[in-house]
Amino acid sequence: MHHHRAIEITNLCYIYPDGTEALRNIDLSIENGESVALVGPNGAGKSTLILHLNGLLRGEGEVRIFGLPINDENVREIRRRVGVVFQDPDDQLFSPTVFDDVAFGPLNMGLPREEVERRVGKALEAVGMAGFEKRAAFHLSFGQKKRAAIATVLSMEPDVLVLDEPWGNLDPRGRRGLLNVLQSLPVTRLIVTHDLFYTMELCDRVVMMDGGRIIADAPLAQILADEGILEEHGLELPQTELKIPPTADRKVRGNLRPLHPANGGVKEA
Amino acid sequence: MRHSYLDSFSNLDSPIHRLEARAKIILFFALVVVCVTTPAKAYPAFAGYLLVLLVLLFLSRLPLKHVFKRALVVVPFVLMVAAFIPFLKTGVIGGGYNLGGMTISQSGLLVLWNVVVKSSVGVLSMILLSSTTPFDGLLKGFERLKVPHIFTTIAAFMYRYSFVLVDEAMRMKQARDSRNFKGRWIWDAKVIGHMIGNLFMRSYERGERVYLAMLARGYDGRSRTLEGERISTADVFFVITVMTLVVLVRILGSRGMFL
Repeated sequence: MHHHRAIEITNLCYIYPDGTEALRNIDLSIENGESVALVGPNGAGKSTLILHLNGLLRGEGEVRIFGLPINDENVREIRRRVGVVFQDPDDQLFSPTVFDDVAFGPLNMGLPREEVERRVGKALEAVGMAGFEKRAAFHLSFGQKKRAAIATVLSMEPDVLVLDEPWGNLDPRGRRGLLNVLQSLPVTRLIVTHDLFYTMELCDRVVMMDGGRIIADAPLAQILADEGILEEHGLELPQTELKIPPTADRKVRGNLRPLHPANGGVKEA
Repeated sequence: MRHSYLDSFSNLDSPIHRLEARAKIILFFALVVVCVTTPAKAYPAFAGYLLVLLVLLFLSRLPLKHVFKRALVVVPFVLMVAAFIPFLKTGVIGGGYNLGGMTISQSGLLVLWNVVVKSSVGVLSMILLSSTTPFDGLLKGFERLKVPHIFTTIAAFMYRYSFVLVDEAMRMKQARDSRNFKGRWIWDAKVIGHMIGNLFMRSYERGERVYLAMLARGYDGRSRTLEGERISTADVFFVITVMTLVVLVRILGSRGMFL
């Protein structure tokens, strides 16, 4: 078989109907198996770029997925191979039950019943949501919704997983859980994010966008070392060291002002 | 936020809950049709329908409090009818009643009775149906009964996103009230108007995003669903038994056989 890159974009431009130039001369190629972070400030064009990866938007220039150009003939195959997880899980989970949502993609692929059920089970298992099939999306916590949203795409067994702001609005435990899920998946990943802290653990390459252009494409370590570029484009270094005053009492749990009646404490005589 | 669900108690276990969704849909709709076509004067027939419903209610083990609370939705409609109909019909003069100077005709009262009893049977049937069948099961039942897909899809989206919408409205209201909105005067209506407009825009945009998410997973306008379980003999037997009973009640009740 021919060697094809997972994603190959050449000279992609896109102008929104209102005249906003969202993408300008984008060149980007991602090898199969890579984990890439796409970073940049709000309005940089990251989400617009994502919509080009499975043909939801088609700009000028060329986008190839595993060698396939995006056209009406290929678009079904491309949408199967590139799984896009959108930012708000409430947009992704639109069916009455979690099962229906995860089965939506495989059903659209025309798979037989047994295969659909197998894939739904496998996808939910992969995100740690086995047993949630019958649940309705609005009964889930936000972290569970995020993971279910990923399962809806995994069930199509994509080769490339594209995630828009996967950490957004999640609490640290939810982020950690999601990180573990993402690390366990054997796919090419493109992650759109502001959060370099979690990106560090997942991606070795960073593509930075601003004003519709790619302004940097380098290994993570190199980007992190260049504080100038981070600041210039509205990002910050991950805060790994917190400044803790040496006098601070480190035992928070035992320090809940027990004497205060509001905390259920009894006033000592 | 806590929502009140349309299908609360639908996850209990009872003979009625275990019936297949299609069987229940056919049963309750047929019951309503038979009831609506019964002449208003066939009083024993209505007693029969209510008895059948009460037995089903008993079998379903639904909390009575829940059922009666739900049944209250019918009250405003009945009141509307009650307010107008007795005066509209003035056909029978001889049997009129005099209430504080207003004449109420007997045929008007009969229409009122007609509306009250039939809407009660209808509402009770729908409460029994929706409280014993999870909403997704209900949708699938309708789909398998060949209800056009566009209706079931609209119902599914409406159900799914009504909760999201209520949450959004609540958050907006909280944000508004945090800034000391009183909403006491007529010009405050403008603020509420803006909120409604805002909600509409948000829903519109969400609709677009949901559609993108559907397209991204290979949606092409056609709907595909898994074929579900087959309807069992027990389901068919149950529906036929209850329906025979109801039709018998209808025939005998209309002829005054119980009296």
